[in-house]
Formats: sequence, structure tokens, C-alpha cells
Amino acid sequence: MYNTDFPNKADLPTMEKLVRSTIIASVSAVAILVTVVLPSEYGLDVTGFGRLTGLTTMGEIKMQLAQEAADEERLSAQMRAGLGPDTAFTPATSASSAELQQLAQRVAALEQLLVPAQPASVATAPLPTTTAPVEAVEPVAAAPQWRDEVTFTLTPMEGTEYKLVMAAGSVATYEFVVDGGVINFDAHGEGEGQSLTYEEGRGVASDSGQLVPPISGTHGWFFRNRGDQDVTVTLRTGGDYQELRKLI
Amino acid sequence: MALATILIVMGFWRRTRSFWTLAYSANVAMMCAGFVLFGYQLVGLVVVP
Repeated sequence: MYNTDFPNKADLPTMEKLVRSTIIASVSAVAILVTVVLPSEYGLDVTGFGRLTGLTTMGEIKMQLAQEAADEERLSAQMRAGLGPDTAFTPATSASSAELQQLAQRVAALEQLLVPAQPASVATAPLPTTTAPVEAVEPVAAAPQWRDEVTFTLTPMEGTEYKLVMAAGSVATYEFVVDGGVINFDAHGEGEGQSLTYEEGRGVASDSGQLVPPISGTHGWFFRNRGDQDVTVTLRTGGDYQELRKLI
Repeated sequence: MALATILIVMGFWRRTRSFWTLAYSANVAMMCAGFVLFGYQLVGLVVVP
């Protein structure tokens, strides 16, 4: 195919000019990489420019999400490998048991600080939140329409996931209330080789409704605290499901 | 599809008079973008969990 005239030898750029341009291109590429791409993609801020423009936060969130995705991948691979659903409770996630213990101690210390600040009438009553957030689900018999109630505290940037094991077409009701702030959540489900998103919420203080999954599997909520204060979330579930599980 | 579109657009661009003045610097910019993507991938290989 002929669609161009060959340029004259004199019109072509000289070798020196080509080399110079290549060097300019690579130097500016490295500059862009270090100042913009690395902070915003990987949270690596060498120059401090990323912190200045807020790009580092973006990168840190991305890295955190990647880490959690990798952890969840590992978890579901374990479950597929037949290690059983019980292993879902022993978090094979990022935190080691030593870290968890340390975390529990810190939470306990925080609560001791908080209790004197409460009004006397409240302080005498046992606080529902004094049970550490790391503990698992406990059924509550008091509310008949709710089969499970779980309360957990999320520190800033922390996320957690609770899911119901449900058969296709069964109906579960839920509500959650956030104390001390707002929360982002993602209601989604997995099963039969599919994954679905039901609802996403940003900065909500409470939500309630029904889950009617079209597929059998696990369906539930991922919660993330994007605020800068600790929030306490109380999740109640009822209806037709097998169990409530803490996944992350 | 993308390549076909690019070919058409490039064909028109070559007919405009500014082509030869811009082509060289455009090439340098493309190289720069290429290096950025290359570095992005390379760092990702090391950093991503």
C-alpha cells in the first residue's frame, strides 16, 4: 500500500536530536511516575507531592482494597479446598492473633476511658459495646423478629464483612444502625459461580430492608468506616437463612 | 476497531499542514507516556500483594 511520500534525508531528525528527545521523554516519564502515578496507584509517596495533592490517600485506599481482595481470594480458595465453613471464623486475613489480641487490649483500654465519660445512669448499666468487637456473632433471643444481632466497632478506614448463608429465593430481613457517625456499605452476594451487587451506600447512618437472593450462597454487607472517628454498628438479621457469618 | 479508528484519524491528520511540525513532538509525548506505563507496571509487579 502506498500512502506516503518518503521524506528527504535532510528532513529526517538527526541522531543527536533523537537521542536527546528520548532522554527528555524518559526523564519526564520518571518525573510523572514518581510524583503522580506511584502515589495515586500504590500509595508510594517519595517526594511528598502526593500527600500535598491528596493522591497518596487514593493510592493507599487502592492498596488496602487490593490487600483485602487478595485476602478474600485466599479465604474463598480455602473454603473451596474443603477446609469447611468453620475456618471462616478464624480470620486468615491480614491480622495475626497477636495483632488481634493487641487490638482487643487497645479497645478495652479505650472503653475504660470512655465509661467514666458516660452519664452515671448509663455507666452503671452494662454497656452492650463492652464486649470486644473482635468477638463473633451471638444470637439474641430478646427480639423475636431478629435471629441474630451483632455489634462491632470500626476504627477509621477499617472494614468488615458479614454475610448470611441463604438459599435462592428465601427472604431475610435486616437492619443496621450506626452509632457515632456514618458508614459506607456494599450489599452483595456470591454463589453458584456468580456475584451480585444489591445496594451500595455512602455515608449512611442506618438502613433496613429485605434480602431475597436469586442464587444460593452467601449474601451480606461489607461495611467500611471512611470517617475519622470510631463508629459502632449494630446489625440485626432475621428471616429465612442458615447462619450469619463474619467473613472479614 | 480502535486501531481502525486511529488509522482514519491519523490519515486526516497527515493531510493537515501542521502534521510535520507536530508529529515529532507527538512522538516524544507518546514515548513519554509509554515509559510511564512501563514504570507503572514494573513497580506494580514489586509492590502489589
